[in-house]
Amino acid sequence: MIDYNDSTIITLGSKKLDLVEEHNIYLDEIIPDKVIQNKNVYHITFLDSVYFLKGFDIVTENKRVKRVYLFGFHPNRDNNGLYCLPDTKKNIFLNEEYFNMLLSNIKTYYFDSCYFKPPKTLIKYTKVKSIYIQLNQGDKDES
Amino acid sequence: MYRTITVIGLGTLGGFLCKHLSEMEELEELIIIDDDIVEVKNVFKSIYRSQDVGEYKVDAMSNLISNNISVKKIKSKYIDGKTKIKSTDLVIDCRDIVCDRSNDIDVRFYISEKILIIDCRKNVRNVCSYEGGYRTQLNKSEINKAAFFAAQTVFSGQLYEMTKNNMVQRINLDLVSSVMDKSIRKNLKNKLDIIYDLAGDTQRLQCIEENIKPILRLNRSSDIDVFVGSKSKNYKTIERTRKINLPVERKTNYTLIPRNSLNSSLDVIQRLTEIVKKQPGISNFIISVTKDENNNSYIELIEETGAA
Repeated sequence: MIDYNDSTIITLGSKKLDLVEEHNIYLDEIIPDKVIQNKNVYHITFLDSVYFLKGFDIVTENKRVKRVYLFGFHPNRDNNGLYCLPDTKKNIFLNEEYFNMLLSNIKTYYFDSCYFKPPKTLIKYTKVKSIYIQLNQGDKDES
Repeated sequence: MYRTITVIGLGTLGGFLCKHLSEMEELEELIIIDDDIVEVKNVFKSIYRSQDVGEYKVDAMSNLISNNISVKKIKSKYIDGKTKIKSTDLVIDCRDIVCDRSNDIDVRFYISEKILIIDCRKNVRNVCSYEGGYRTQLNKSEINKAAFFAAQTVFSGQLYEMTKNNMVQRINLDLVSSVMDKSIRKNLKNKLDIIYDLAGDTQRLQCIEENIKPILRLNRSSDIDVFVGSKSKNYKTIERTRKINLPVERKTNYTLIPRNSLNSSLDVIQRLTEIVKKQPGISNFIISVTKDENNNSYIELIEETGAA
């Protein structure tokens, strides 16, 4: 169980290697507002408050993001609260840009690959016109 | 099977047929031939829009077709045996006139009342020629379905067999309507609004009209706000760590696209891709045009998070 009332700094391995794991806790109500399904975007028009998140914890190692835990139910987190972070989002320096992107990702349910879908009585969403852009390997940001 | 196709006649059936053919992945080149101009009467039953009135049909059609295939326009009347056209895998005649056909035309598609006729005969000689509109009882949506069905026969291999055997097929559109509806529904269900694949040269655009054109129109009249991720209220954060000092208030990543800086579909894709590529760790993303509570439009670039 993550205790997000206290800051937690855990030292892993030898201090000579300077491997420091930090928990960057963010606490606020987060209301998911979008769904991605079949590569289309849907706007959530109704969501039961049971799915409102209370915050999240970004675990970094040497200031690079390792994993993220969510405080609340989410289709893209496992039973332990571990958010499914794509590989492209790992080992990146935690900065404001990254934080904003992560916040936006968390507010988006990705239904093409998820642990569960909220029942239809608890979520309603409508499709919006969208353009899906598939970047090729060379176009991916290497940072 | 058919990589290059010529369509003669861009009327009600020919117009919709071109659109459906252009959406087929296999097609690389489309040659369209028509000397006619879009009139107001064409808007009600054919694919053309009111803003196309006064334009040549070939010009209006090429605007309606996504630019991922090569479209060659010929603004002249096709005269059998006299008009020389580049050799293509298939030549389709969709003219609403009845005239003699030699070996150049592979198939003639036309609608008579509620029947779609696929005529694959060659060297056809008619007793008298007829020029004028179709006698059709179909509305715009039904003609679109008939064209969709015709396009399916082209790429399913069915037409290849028919042309080989000089066959004529009459299809009652009422009888196949329910099948077509199901097929179209399934097709639309699986169809993305737009896919733009930047990998190599494989670019596939679908429903370009409904999606990219509004962005171009919006940019003609005003600047566009672009947000990477959701445009949302600023969240106040409670910092618990001592080591990393994140600002107390955060704003979503924001860019402004100045008015009149987007001139084509490619501009839209390239400009927005540039914005996304500056962000850390983004792979694929989705462009969504949204309106705020004051009815102002803005663009959100939503990352495909892609993990379970």
